[in-house]
Amino acid sequence: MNQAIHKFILATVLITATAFWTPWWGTVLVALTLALLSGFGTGLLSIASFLGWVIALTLRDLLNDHGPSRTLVRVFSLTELGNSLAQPAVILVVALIGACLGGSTAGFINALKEWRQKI
Amino acid sequence: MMVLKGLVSLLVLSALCVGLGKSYADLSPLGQLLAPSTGVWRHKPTSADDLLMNFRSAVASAGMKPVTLTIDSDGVPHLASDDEAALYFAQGYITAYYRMWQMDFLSRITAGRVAELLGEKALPIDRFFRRLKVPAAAEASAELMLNDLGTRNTLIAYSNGVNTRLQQIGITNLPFEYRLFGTLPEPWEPKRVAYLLKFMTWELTGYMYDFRLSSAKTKLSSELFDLLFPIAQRVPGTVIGDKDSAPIAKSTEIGTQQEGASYVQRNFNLFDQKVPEIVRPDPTNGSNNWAIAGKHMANGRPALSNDLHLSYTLPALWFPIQLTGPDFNVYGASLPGAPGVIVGFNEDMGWAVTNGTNDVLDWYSLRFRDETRREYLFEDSWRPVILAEEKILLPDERYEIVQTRETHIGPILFEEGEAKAVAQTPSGLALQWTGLIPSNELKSFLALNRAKKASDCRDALKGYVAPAQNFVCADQNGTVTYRLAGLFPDRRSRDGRLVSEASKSSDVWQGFLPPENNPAIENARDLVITANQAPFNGTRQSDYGWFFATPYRAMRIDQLINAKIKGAKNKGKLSPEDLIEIQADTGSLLSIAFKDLVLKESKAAPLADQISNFRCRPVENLAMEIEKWTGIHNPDSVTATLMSEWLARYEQELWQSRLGTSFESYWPNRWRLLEISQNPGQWSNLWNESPKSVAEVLSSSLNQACTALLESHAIVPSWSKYQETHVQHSGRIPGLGRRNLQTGGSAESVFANKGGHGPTWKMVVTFEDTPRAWFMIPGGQSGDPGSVEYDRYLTEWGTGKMRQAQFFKRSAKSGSQ
Repeated sequence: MNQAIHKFILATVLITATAFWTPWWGTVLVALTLALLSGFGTGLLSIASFLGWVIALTLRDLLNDHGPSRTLVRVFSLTELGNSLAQPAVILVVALIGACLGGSTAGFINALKEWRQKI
Repeated sequence: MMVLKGLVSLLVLSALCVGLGKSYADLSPLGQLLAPSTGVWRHKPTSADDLLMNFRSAVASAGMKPVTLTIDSDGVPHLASDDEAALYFAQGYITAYYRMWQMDFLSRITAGRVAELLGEKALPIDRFFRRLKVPAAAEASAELMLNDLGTRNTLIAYSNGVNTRLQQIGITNLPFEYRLFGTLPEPWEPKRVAYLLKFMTWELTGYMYDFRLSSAKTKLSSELFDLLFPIAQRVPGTVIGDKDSAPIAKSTEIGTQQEGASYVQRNFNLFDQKVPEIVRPDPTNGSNNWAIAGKHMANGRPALSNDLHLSYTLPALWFPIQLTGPDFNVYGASLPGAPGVIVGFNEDMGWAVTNGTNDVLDWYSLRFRDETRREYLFEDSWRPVILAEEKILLPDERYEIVQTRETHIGPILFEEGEAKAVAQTPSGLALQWTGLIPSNELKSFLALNRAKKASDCRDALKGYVAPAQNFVCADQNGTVTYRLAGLFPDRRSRDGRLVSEASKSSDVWQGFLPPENNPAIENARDLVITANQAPFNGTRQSDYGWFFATPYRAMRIDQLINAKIKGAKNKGKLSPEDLIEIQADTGSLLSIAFKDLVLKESKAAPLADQISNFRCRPVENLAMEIEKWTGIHNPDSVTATLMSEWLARYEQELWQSRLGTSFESYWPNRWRLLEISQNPGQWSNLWNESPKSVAEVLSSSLNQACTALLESHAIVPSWSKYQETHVQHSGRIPGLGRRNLQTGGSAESVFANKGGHGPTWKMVVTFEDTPRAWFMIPGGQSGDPGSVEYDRYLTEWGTGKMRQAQFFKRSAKSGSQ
């Protein structure tokens, strides 16, 4: 159990840092690397990627005076929801991209690994 | 299961990689835009705190003399300096700080360079302005500005300010729109100001009504045409009254004009498709301004009011600012990208503008030698068409070559081979437009900024060419002046309303009318009102135009001011609050006139039966609703919706079968519509066979209106749901505007909101020891969609409220922030 938590924390930290500093495909590379190491499951990496992106996006938003989330609230015509609701909603929706990137990379690698073990 | 899981994961991953890496509709790739490290998430909105810090370093690094910058609680920057160059440098810097993308975009429109920013979808705009030769005219204007010492220094200082800001812009400060399209701003050149002013000129004078009226002419007998479209229509409420007693219709040159008209009939649709919607001037571009003499004001000094009616955009079109220089101190609306203040006031006087709504654009049909259209007949000889090729750049180093064609009269819009119909008939259209004359209007505006009295407006406006505007000036000594400023073509025997054939010199403009003869009032004693209506009644009215706004708005302003003067409140003296209230008025005298017609006609069957049996939810008792309606277009008014739709259907029933749709042909204005409806003699001339009475047409149009409203909305909607008010992004980027604002007003109301168009700058000024003024814009100071200042005033604007301008007197300028 502890090991899983440690792995989850490690994955989240790595993906947060990658998402914060590198282009979107950085998440794919990190998920790929972690999935190749044993024990980093698809679910774990999906959630870690989602969380990593949420943290990275929130930090960016805070660093930039909430300008990014306000801009996207306008772009997605969510102004009627009100900023306190719409801004976190936007962050969560965009973070789904990270979850999909991490999850699908891990899903593919883990399936490959399973297939290799079988043969 | 394992294989399926692997395949699904691979599919999702591949789709994501392709989807996030691909560029759609010339936008930056989605992955780049949405990833936390790039695009939107690295975007810091413009803020006053950052501005103050960066401003200090900009002024210091440019080696400028000291400039004081204060941002007031409304977000309006106040700049003060003893050095003019430093002041305009600072204005350029501040404007670029808040509105870089907007000023870049707007100044690219008439330069024919929008595609560089927005990609292929903007090509029609660029093609259009290149063929109109507006870039060449703007560049010639820029040369004039740079040859004049005053405007030259101002332009250079302003441009330096913009460029200093550009050098400061890093990844986090790059305006959002540049990120979205993956483009970058380029160094600002003084000529951009000329492009901007030409853009405003196009917006305010680029009307294509000659085509639609020519189209109407082909469908009507001469008698009916004259009935529907009298030259020099006599109306009440003109700006300076009557110049002579009776308008005399000039005979139009039917023979030559018929050629042009039939050309239009064949090619109208073809032409109109070539005018991109974004640059098609709104037919209701206009404004209100009025000055009230001091004797009617509680403080004994004159008052000035202005609201500029243009398309709403976010960022707001105008940028409020105060500039305090060595010998002037001005506050008002600046145009992002141009130095100085365009509309505003200083310590001594103020000036307000409305569109003259004049006809300064004519189209001519030419006779070409053959289908290649390289030579045209003029004065019995074949003259060469000047052909040129221009390169329109696109992002990613792509480009398109556009061919332009020009005659000595003006440019030809159509490109060879584009229009089969044109190729079969060797004729084309050349354009004469005052906007193509090189001119230096900046000089006039800068002179107005430092004017000391209302009479200085006359000198300031000398040399002003376009766009023709009604300038009303008022000063603290009590003088009020009016002047229609602009250059107007001398057409001699022609009225310029129709497309006509040009084969000899007398067919085209014979120079210009002497500007000193333009309509003017040197010292108004009482009240001056301009609302795009005709400047005067009389035979020479058509020298200045023929599609002036109907007089309803001007009459309404007059009615409201006089009601206030005669009212018991304030002992017949007006306060600034009264003027603010008048500016917010949503009543319409057109609606009242239509209501009067309906009530008059409903005394007789069948309209009376129709009204009594009326079923159009939720209007239960139409007769009662109409009776009590005061013509007010409040957001929740259902009667306003019904009456507006009814009037539109009534108009449609009368004109559509005779003229085609209002898109195809020019329709008589609504003043004329109601005039004819109330005149039995004129009404009977409308009908050759199976005549109908006014009541019959009203009855059937009511039916149509009700059916249409119920079909589209299920019930008769409230006015704000019927006339929805939206504010678009200036580059029409979806999502960056605001939709469904709850606001009232109509085209003929003082608060002339028409959904996407209306008051873009509102100002009320009274002159005391320190001028007191109020202002409002539909938006905010910032051009950054991520900033709370982007649309800060929009809701307030919709309710008609205004904010008191924080005008600093010169003595207070040393207080720095």
